[in-house]
Amino acid sequence: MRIPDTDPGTPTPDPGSFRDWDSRVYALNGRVLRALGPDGLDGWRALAGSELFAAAVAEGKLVATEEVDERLPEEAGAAAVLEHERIPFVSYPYEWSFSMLRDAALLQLELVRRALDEDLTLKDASPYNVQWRGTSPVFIDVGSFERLREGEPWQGYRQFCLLFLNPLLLQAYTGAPFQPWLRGSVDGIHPDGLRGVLSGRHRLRPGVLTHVVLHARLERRHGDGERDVKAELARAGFRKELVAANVRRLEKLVRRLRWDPGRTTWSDYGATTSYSEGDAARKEGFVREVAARRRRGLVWNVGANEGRHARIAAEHADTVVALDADAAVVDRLYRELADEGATRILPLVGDVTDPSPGLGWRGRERLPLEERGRPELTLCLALLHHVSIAGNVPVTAFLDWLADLRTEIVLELPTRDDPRVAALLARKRPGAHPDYDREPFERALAERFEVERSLELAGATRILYAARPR
Amino acid sequence: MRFAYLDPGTGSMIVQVALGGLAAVAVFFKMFWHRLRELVRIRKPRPAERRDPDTTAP
Repeated sequence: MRIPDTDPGTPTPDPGSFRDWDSRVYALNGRVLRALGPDGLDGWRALAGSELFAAAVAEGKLVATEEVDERLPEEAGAAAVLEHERIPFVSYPYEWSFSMLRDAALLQLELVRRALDEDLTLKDASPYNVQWRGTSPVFIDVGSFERLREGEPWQGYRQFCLLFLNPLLLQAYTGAPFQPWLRGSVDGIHPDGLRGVLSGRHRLRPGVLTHVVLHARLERRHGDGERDVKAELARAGFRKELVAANVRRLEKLVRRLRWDPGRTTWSDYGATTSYSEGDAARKEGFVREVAARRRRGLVWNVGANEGRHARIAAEHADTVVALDADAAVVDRLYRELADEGATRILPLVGDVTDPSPGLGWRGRERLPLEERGRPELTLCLALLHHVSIAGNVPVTAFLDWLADLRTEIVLELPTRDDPRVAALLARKRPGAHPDYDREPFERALAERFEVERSLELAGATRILYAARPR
Repeated sequence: MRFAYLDPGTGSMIVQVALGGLAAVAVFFKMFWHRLRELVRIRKPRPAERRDPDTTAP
């Protein structure tokens, strides 16, 4: 579902779409195409003729899709080609907050439940098949739908546990974040692994005994796969109603899961910021002036915090990616934006000093953050001291990173006299971070960017710069 | 019969019976009744079914 920046003019196979032979994604001149094999075509025809398809596309829950007359390379083995609507910015579950993964899980289950009503099902259950239009989850893998085969349990159940349910149970019941685990394992969290984490008292919480403990035991016991359990189940009368009942139970379980982050470092930052009201308004005015100069496609707000400036940028951009390292802050922003019905801001969990790398097969199945869309404007407000002093990334290295993105920037320098910077520096040896000062910063900035405007705030302890790449 | 690209997992399929509550009790017993009959050789297993070595009759 991701498109390289340069259009090759010939269809390029998506490096993340190879697992299902019957349904593979290609990029062509910025378009998203899908090659369907014979079975994939059968599934598509069944879906296209269903009431679910028209309704779910109209509700924005399923990516808009049509069959097109397009030739793909021979090796695609395409019996038919589909074209999908483009999603503004591709993100991955290890960049989502708890509520985002939960809402994506509920969308997945809702689609299975509604598909069953029309004798369809989904052959897998992966959050990588869910993307976002702002804060609305959209299911993008039309190739997942197929005709229901009577007597079979849900094929996607195991994957649902690994990639949706287990991460949610982990965070809801232990408070441990699921993101590092999902980032470390493209397959997700195995029942056996989660069982090791959930201790005695956790085992009494809803869902744990069955989906985790029993699941782990049965996986271990039947790991050799000698028996044809699928045939046994069909013979014993397993039927669609049982699948539907299980899906409803899963929906009930997932809907009840909550994460209480407590008070994290930044989750009340907005309320305790050192800015006076007047300075906060002048800072907003500065951001608004730059954002409003022209309509932009993609804006990044790195260190978005409560999203005040992301909201301003979104008045003048198609998509704003609001990135913050604090999952609690992102979760709150997501829920606020979802309540507001905001459509252009995508909140993501991410630490700019440790950004999402390439993962999966050959490190290309899931792409690094920077390769999924180049920002035209990047806001870095109240960020540099965290990156440079707390994160120990040299100021020049951070500016190099921004320069490599070829993005316009609005950057805030809290000087060494700013109370927050002083507090960070107080923990370091005297004289540490000599590069973090107004004069060397401005020199390094001018070497890489053309500074268009700057503004001193809070008695010149905070300075804003608007700059474009040289 | 068409096969999924994803291995549904034998254990994962059985969990789905265990999850099914009352509605699945019949399926559960039927499945194990079939296994039991196989075990005591009331009925010869179908050739398509592979037998678990553990279930060989004494």
